[in-house]
Amino acid sequence: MSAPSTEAGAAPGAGGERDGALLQVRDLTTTFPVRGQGVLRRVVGRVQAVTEVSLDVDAGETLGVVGESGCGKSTTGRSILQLIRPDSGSVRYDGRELVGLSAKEMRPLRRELSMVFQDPFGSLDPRLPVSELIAEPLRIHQVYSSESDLRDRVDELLGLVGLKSEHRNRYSHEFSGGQRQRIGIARALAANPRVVVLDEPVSALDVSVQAGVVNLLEDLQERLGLSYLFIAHDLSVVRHISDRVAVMYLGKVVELGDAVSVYENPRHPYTQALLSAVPLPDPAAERRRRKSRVVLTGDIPSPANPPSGCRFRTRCPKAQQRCADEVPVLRASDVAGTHTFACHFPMGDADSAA
Amino acid sequence: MTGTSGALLEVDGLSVTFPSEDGEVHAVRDVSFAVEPGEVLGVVGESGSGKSVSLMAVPRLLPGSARVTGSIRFDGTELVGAKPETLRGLRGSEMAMIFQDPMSSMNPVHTVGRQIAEARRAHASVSKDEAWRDAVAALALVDIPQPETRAKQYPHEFSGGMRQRAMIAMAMVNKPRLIIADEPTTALDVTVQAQVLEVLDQARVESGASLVLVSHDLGVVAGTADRVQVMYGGTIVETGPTEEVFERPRMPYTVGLLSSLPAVDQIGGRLHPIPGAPPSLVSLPPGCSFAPRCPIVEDACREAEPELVEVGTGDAAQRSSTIGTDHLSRCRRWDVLAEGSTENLFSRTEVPA
Ligand SMILES: Nc1ncnc2c1ncn2[C@@H]1O[C@H](COP(=O)(O)OP(=O)(O)OP(=O)(O)O)[C@@H](O)[C@H]1O
Ligand SMILES: Nc1ncnc2c1ncn2[C@@H]1O[C@H](COP(=O)(O)OP(=O)(O)OP(=O)(O)O)[C@@H](O)[C@H]1O
Ligand code: SF4
Ligand SMILES: [Mg+2]
Ligand SMILES: [Mg+2]
Repeated sequence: MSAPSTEAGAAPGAGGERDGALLQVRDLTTTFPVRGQGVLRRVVGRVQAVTEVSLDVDAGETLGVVGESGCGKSTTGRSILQLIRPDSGSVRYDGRELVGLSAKEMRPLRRELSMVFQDPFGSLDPRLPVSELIAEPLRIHQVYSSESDLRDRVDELLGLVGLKSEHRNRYSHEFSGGQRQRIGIARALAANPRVVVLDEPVSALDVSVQAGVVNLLEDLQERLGLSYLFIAHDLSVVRHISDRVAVMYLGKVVELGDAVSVYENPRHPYTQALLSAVPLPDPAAERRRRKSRVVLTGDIPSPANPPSGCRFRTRCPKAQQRCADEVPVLRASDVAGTHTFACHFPMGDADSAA
Repeated sequence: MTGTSGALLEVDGLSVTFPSEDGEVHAVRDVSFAVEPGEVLGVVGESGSGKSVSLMAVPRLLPGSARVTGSIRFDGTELVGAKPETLRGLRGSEMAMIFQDPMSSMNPVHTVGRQIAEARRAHASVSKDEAWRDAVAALALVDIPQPETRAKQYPHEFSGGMRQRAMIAMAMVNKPRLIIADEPTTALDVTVQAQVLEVLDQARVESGASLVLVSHDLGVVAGTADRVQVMYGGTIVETGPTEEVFERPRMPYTVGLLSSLPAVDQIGGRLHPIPGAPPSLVSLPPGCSFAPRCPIVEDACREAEPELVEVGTGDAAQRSSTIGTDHLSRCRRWDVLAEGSTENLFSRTEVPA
């Protein structure tokens, strides 16, 4: 279909890597120790949570990240922000290398790089009332010198995420799931960051409140040029909010490109399986879809011992010998190189380029 | 409200309030519903509308500050005011909860397998080995890969979605008769979500258990629930057979909720949240709690809270049948929705794009 070889030659890993992006992630790799039994719990292996992930996020851009549970989305987000130390690779923010910075060196950058955590319960200090939870980042970074300005900003943030001033003095355990999630969002946005990693930020919200939060994020992006790494399992929301989308499988990016292109013309068989699994909010249609959907067969392989070659091959309907022998690299799907995928036998490409 | 004597769970006039610095929080107000054996009841609604609190009241898992009134009968036994032992005996065996928040219900210092095995041993006289085997089998049932290995890991070593599946495994290990699942698939990607729903459904069908499923995912509810109950401002505002409520919503809030969904094929553009904010649960307006946001509000709506009334007109076939649809709405003007298309109900309050 396309001529990937020349494109790939001109722009290696095109789509993932673009010069001059605000956030440039290259070959990011993070592993966790696997401990054995016994009192010593010796390290007997490593979970390859994130393997050689490269991606860019431009100023004012939203990159969506999707993929199966356990594929390494949260670890990618946390490793980018140095909340987990990656084993290797590079994260350049505004031209500055973050990998290897000490906690102290990172501290001033934390104002610009913030995160909404996947678990809104565990990430909020139970001893602080909500007003203090939201004020905390503003105090740490000394954003306001007057208490009344600080108070106004906290009230403004509460209002932005649809909470009321009657909620100011309550503690996090006195809120509903969705209210806590919104407190996490208000906190992450408090100090006017430039890059926000949003890890499942709207999963606990009803669709109406969710629509409000998504509109809010888009407004702020437009007004302040924020960049988002938007991790979510809800493919409709990701499609709606993202300029580009990265699809991860077992620690690796398997497809990356323009949201429209990835959704309309998925090349990786995993992306296709993922897209076919979206539930529909219409009882009759959903029951029909459930009968006909393709549920991926086979277990998710252990990330401590991923398959050779293509990591998806053990569950892939198109897998052949080559998939076990050779690791597929990201290559361009289109001439512009805005859409890349890592598969030897991609979809919509019967005579795939060798 | 169906008042059927065969119901497994019957909640009648349930109210829950919390004290707060700014006054009493009326989190749940006069909620009544029943769940038949083997039935799946879906619960949807605004964030903060009382879904979790009303369901946590059933196994009495609310904080001590909560004031609970009304009646909750499980298989005929009254639970409000029952002895703590009665509830302890039911929880985790007859009645299982799957929470929104997987971390809080897992102990960080014990392995996942040990916690599930202990849950098994708490309600059945099985040996440690048997309990461990049951735990591994329960993990396998929810599609945790390498369950023997994973069972020996601690909760923090699981990804968010795996933790949630482990919770489900823990809930299912004693084969309960009633499963209350509060957003069980929130942290799951769609492929795993599909598997988990299948697992829940399979386990339910096999054991004949009833399921109360709280979810913001209207697709999940559409595909799973026999009946659906919509909550707003601490109370039920609409309830009925799933298809009835999704296809013929008779409460403006439900209409707004259904039209806030991003379409699967939608890229860009604005989403359409319901304009305005939910009511304060500390000082509720006297009338319909949705009145301040309602596009078809009239003066009378603001005077007194409307009752839940039968709106089950259904289609012609259902109308002529003697069996009602059990479709109820708390809107005074539901007939306005019945007369016209509900598609553009909220467009008149929208700012033009
Ligand atoms: N602290 C840790 N110690 C050991 N293993 C870990 C740790 N954190 C994550 N992992 C493992 O790393 C892999 C990736 O986890 P991660 O949380 O990044 O997945 P995810 O894509 O965010 O999944 P989900 O959609 O379920 O949140 C999983 O196999 C997980 O079990
Ligand atoms: N301990 C508490 N003290 C005071 N108010 C509380 C307490 N727990 C819950 N609330 C309030 O009660 C209301 C109902 O909460 P509940 O958790 O039932 O909401 P929900 O419908 O489950 O929302 P979500 O969809 O966001 O999970 C909320 O407005 C919440 O702020
Ligand atoms: S009762 Fe009145 S205010 Fe309430 S939803 Fe119906 S029309 Fe709107
Ligand atoms: Mg995660
Ligand atoms: Mg809840």
